[in-house]
Amino acid sequence: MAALPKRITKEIERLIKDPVPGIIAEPHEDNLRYFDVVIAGPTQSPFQGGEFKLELFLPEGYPMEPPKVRFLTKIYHPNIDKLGRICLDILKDKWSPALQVRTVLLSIQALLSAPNPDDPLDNNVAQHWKDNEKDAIATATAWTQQYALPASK
Amino acid sequence: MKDPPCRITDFFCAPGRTGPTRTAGPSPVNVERARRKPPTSSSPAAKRSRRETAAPPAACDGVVYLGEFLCIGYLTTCRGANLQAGDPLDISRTYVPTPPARSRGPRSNIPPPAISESGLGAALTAYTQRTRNTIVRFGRGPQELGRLRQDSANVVAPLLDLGLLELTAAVVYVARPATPQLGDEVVMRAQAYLPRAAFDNPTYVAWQCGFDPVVAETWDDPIATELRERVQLDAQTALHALFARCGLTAHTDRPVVPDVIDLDSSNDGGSQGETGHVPEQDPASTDDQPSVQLDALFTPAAAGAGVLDLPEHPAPPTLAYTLHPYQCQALGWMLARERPATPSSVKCAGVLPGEDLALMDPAWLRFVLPSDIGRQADDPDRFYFHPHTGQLALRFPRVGRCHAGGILADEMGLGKTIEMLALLHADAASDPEPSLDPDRSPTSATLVVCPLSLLSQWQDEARQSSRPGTVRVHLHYGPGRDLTALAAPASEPVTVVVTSYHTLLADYTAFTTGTTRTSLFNYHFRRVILDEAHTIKARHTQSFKACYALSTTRRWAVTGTPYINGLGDLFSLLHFLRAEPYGRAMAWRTISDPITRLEQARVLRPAPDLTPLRAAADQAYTRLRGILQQTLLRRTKNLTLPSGLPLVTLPPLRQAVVTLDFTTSERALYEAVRTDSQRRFRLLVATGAVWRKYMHVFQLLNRLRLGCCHPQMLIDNLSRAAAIVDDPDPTDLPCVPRLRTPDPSPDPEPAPEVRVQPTIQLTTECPVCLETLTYPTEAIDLGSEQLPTILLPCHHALCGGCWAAYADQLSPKARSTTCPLCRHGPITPESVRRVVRADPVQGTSSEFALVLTHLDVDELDSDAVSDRPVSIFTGVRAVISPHRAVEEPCLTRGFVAGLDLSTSAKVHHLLELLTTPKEADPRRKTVVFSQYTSFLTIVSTELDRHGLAHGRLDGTMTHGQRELALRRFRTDVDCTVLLLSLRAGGTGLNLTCASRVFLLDPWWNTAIEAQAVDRVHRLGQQRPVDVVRFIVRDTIEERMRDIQQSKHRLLGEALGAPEAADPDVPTGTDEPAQQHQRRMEELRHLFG
Repeated sequence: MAALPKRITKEIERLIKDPVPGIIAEPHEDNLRYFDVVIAGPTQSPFQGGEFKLELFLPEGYPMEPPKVRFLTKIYHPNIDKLGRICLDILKDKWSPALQVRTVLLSIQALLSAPNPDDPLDNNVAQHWKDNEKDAIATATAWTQQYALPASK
Repeated sequence: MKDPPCRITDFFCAPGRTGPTRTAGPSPVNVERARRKPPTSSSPAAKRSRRETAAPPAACDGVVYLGEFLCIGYLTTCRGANLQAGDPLDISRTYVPTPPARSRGPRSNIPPPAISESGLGAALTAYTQRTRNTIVRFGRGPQELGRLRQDSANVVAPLLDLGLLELTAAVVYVARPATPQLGDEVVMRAQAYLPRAAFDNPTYVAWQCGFDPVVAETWDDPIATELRERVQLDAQTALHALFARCGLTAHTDRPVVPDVIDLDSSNDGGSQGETGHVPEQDPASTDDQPSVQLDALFTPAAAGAGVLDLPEHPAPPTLAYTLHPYQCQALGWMLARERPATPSSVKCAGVLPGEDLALMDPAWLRFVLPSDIGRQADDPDRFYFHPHTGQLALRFPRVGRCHAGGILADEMGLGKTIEMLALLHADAASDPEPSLDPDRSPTSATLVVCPLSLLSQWQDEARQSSRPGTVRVHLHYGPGRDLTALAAPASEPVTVVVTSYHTLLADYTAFTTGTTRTSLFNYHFRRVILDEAHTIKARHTQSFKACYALSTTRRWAVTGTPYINGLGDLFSLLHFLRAEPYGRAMAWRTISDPITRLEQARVLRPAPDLTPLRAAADQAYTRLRGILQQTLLRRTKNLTLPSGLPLVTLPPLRQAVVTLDFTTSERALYEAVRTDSQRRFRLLVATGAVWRKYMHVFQLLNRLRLGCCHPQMLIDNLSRAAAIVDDPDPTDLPCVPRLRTPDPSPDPEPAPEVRVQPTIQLTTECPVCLETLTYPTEAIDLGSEQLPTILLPCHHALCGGCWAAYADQLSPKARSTTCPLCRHGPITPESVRRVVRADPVQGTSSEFALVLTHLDVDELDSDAVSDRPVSIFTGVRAVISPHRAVEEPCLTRGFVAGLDLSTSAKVHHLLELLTTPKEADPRRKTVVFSQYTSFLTIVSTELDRHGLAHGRLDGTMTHGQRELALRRFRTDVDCTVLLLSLRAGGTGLNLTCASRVFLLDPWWNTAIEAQAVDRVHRLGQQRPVDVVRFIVRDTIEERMRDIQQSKHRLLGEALGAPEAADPDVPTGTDEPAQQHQRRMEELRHLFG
């Protein structure tokens, strides 16, 4: 394995020194490229109150390649499939090396507040969201209560 | 055989058996044997009074008896076997063995030195050697018996060295008279006498030490100064100690000066604008502001009611003017100052017969001599001692004739010139007094030294104020000047020679280098007057030395501002006047040191206890007040006489401010520059660079002020700063917000657009690799690790390596290259620039400039350096730095071309006012002031175009040209306007022929504006005076007015002056931190 690029070290330093509010991101001790992330559900969203676990991995090509992020906690969201994969443009084609772990996680948090059913990963959920938003929100809330509360596992 | 000693105390009371004997040292004075009482027996029943010894020699013998004291010595030999109580002893100093050529005496073989340094040097060396120790020996006859103990020796030794003391001593007690041992103590009684010659003779000590005091008066010779000062210091401290030892104390009820004012309540606002500064602090603060105290000295209140009550002297008949009452008072005062023998009417308590308090320097101490010894009728019962100079006097020390003159410090515009001329007439004498110096021919003329711009004023005033045939005026100026006319006898009683400071300096240089041309220094004048005497406030300058070297008996310093910076200025004047004793540095320091010490302690943190310092400073101020009362006369315009009338009545002064509006073009230009300046200022504030880049801030402010006057001036300024550039290629730059001019009128004409170059804020780190961006110089090999910084067209920067990697990574996917930060694109390789460090741009303040060069993508792999530097800002190098981004280009030529630069609001309004006289008096003359000579030129051109005859005075004109302009303005009826820059016009100019003043631009300092107005509104003005200030609406000028009126002008003027520590400007007494705070607020206010 190649030595860790300075950028990653710097990012880790800054994340620890200056964490993003509502987001916890800690690298694994044995593999600094691998992060355990917890995102708090944004207020005024159905995910409010929940704490969602994610995993984030920085591939070899980082920062020219985007990091790989996946939800570990079950979540009812039109842009997140049942495996936890996230449909976010900056994680794919709109990635820029100027973006960082911090900004990525913030974007994901923003995505939770603003779901986009027009660009779905899971058609069913997206359809549900478009047809009956209120009901979908209710489901999302229920799932949050069921899966994302700190006590539940 | 000897009587056995009964008790020790007997010996203390035993009446003396012997009279006083001569001391061992040679003395220049004849000491006659005194009358002696026949020796009485040493019975214990003898009187116990210590003083009942043999009568000391009376003063008429040439010594003055001071008193007696006991001192203890110790034997250094065993051969004092015959020492008995009452034995006389000789006391003398030891002298370090000197080379055989010199004698042992303190003053014998050293001849009075010729005027050469070696003489003084020899005297100093000899003195230093003599005073190296303080061993005093006593002996009997030729045999030395022992030494005095150190405490007594310290008192006695210096005085013996200086020849100021004669001692006679007698043994009082010896422990073992029969078998003395080494180290035995001997108690003796010493009687101290001061030689009569030391009194009333300030040069006595100098001669005793072997040097000519006149020679040692040289100012800048370090040896002379050291010798003089050491001797003086030693003398005065030793005398102090002696007096204490002898039990003499000064009279404490000696009156000083009539008790006048309470320092705390003194600042009654009557202090002048240029000297006073009312502190804004909490009035309950107990910290006396020193400047308040110093200002208080100059308020008329400090001088006491006496200043208004001075006796008037009738105006001399040869004077053509009538004098105001206060001017007659000044005349009387000045005459008294020139003839100090005139008794004064000041009455004070505690004056002994023969004393006249008005003539005594208040520092003199009066000592009363012991009176319980037999004294003859004509012996003195008291003497005087000056604690700061060490002088002794038996006669009442009145101010000597060598200090005739003083400081006339009336406020500006009260007619000091006339007062001086009145003095000349009152003291007219056709025959010259004999001169003290054979090299200088005496003349009865008075020399007047004044600034260049006032030369003709003095001449004219002298002629006009005197009846015909009573005055002869001689101008000493110019290359062909000569003074031979002075030698010719004059039929007129008064002769005046007028010259300038520069001429005086030139003459002085010629004189000291020995050219034989007759100069001012070959004459001994009856009187010398320095006009605007604060010009010579710096003592180290040649000008000062020149003034000092003038030979005369009467000296006057005339100034409206007797102190500008502090006490040192005052001292310069006193030194010039040869005031005794405070014109001498050592005595002056006793006043200035306590005050300075207080000042220095005041700024210490943590604050020490200031009470003792303040007490000392207060005392110093009191003494200073006393000195000033005797030497300085000052009245101000706003004084009211006891009768309730004001001191001087002037016609009313009407002030107006006219607020003008810009033309459209002016406004457009001004706004463009203003927003740019504001941005730059904010950047400086954000980077904390305001105080470091002070000049920059000043330039920005100055630009805005130029813009208020005339747009052409602003354009010129910008062009000179290379701040106008060609229009950039539109494809190169992103379009920036357009500034629209405020368009109040429904005029459909489109407002001109402004394209302003954006500020580049280069990030400090590359966004991709998070490394700090570096800016290597061009010379750096590209193959090295540090790849240059890349600048993208969207002005985002990143490091070359990251860009290369990014571009590589993108191109295989054939996607267009976009900026990683803002996705601006597509980005072609040609539009990418490399940023490289280069030399800074002329006239900017950056340490380096960053040049943008083309980047060939292949370059990154090769060592070739691009040699086609092209900046992204066409024509001008961009000045960017990673930490401060203030680029110079400000406007584009296209924009400037669209402006109408022909006229300005101010010029327009000025012409309106001048060409349409509204009052009945069309021949009213106007004086127009501006700070910018370029503006005066523009105005001049405009006036010519309108056919208005006018004159102009500025710093570029010679004396002759100025004269011509002034004369024309004063006498020509058609010439109704005079254009003036205040600095060139100078203070003191009399323009009372005009009755209107236009101030075209505001000054930071209201006092300067007041001076400008004072040229016209002064004594001699017959008509009401109108003052109009031109201010443009919504500009920096309005804000300057705000600051002026908020009474922060002292700080404001420090803002305005690029030489921020202008010595002519009195500074406030706030702490630096507070000052900074205030200035920052003001700057913020100014920039909006």
